[in-house]
Amino acid sequence: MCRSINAVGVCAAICIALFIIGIAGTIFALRPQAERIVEILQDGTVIYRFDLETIQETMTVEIADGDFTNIAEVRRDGVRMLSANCPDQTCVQMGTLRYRALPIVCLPHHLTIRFAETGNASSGEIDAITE
Amino acid sequence: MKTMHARKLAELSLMTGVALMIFIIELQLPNLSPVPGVKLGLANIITVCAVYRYSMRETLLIVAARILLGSIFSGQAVTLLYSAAGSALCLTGMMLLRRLIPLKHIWICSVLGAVCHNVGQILTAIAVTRTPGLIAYLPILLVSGCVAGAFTGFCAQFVLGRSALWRRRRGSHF
Repeated sequence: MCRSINAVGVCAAICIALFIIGIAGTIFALRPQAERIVEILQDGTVIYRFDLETIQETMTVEIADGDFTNIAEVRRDGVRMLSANCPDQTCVQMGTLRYRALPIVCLPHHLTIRFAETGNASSGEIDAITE
Repeated sequence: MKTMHARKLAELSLMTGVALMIFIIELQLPNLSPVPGVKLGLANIITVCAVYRYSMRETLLIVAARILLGSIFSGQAVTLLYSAAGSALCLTGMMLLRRLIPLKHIWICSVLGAVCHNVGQILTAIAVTRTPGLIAYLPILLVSGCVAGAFTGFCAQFVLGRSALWRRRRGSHF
C-alpha cells in the first residue's frame, strides 16, 4: 500500500515538473524576436531565403511539388502562408511568422517557414533561389 | 487466437463508436490555438477509460479502429501517421502506469499519457520534415498535454464512476 502511494506521489511530482518545465520553456520560446532573415525549407533543405529588411513590396512565392502547391506571402513586416491545397490548412491558420521557436509548418507538404539561425546568415552559403 | 465473447465485442464497438463521435464533433469546434497539435483530444476520455477497464489487446483494438476510421471520416489521411505514433507511445506509457496508479488518481496517468502522445507526435514531425528545430514546439506541447490530459483524465474518472457498463469487474465472463 505504502509503495503504491509513493508511486502515485512520484508520478504526480513528474506531472507538476513537466508542467513547470513546459511553462518556463514556453516563456523562453516566445521571447521577442529580432531576427529579420526568413527561410523556407522543404524536406530540411533551404529553398528560399529572404531578408525582410530588403523587401520593398509584398510578393508571393509559389512552391509546387507534384500535386502540392503552397503560396507564401512575403511582406516587410512578416511572412505567412497564403494558401495551401492540403486538407488540414494548419499552416494557413498559423498566420504570420512571429517567433523563432514557432516555425510555420506544412506537414503534408514537408515545408517549414522559419527565422534563420542567428549567425547562420553571415556564413555566406546562399542557396536561396529568389525569383 | 483467443475467442471473443459477442457481448465483449459489442462493448468494444460501442466504445469505438463513442470515441469516433467525440473525435468528429471536436473537429467541428474552432481551434483553441493556432499552434498545431494543441487540442483537448476529448476522444482520449474513452482511451483512458479503456486502459483501466479492458485488457491491453482490447484497448489497442479500440484505439486503432478509432484512429483509422477517424482519419478516413475526417479526410485527413496525412495526420494518420502522427496520430498513430502519438497514440502508440501514449498507450505504452499508460499501460505501464496502470499498474502503479490506482483508479482514483487516473488523471495522473492521463496527464503522462497525453505528454507521451505529444512527444510521439513531435518526434514523428521531426522525422517527416527532417527539421530538428521543431523540438522548440515541445515546451508548448508539454503545457498543452498537461492541461488537456488532466481535463480528459477527470472526465474519464466521472465516466468510470457513472456508467453501469463499467461496474462489472474487468475480465469477468458474461
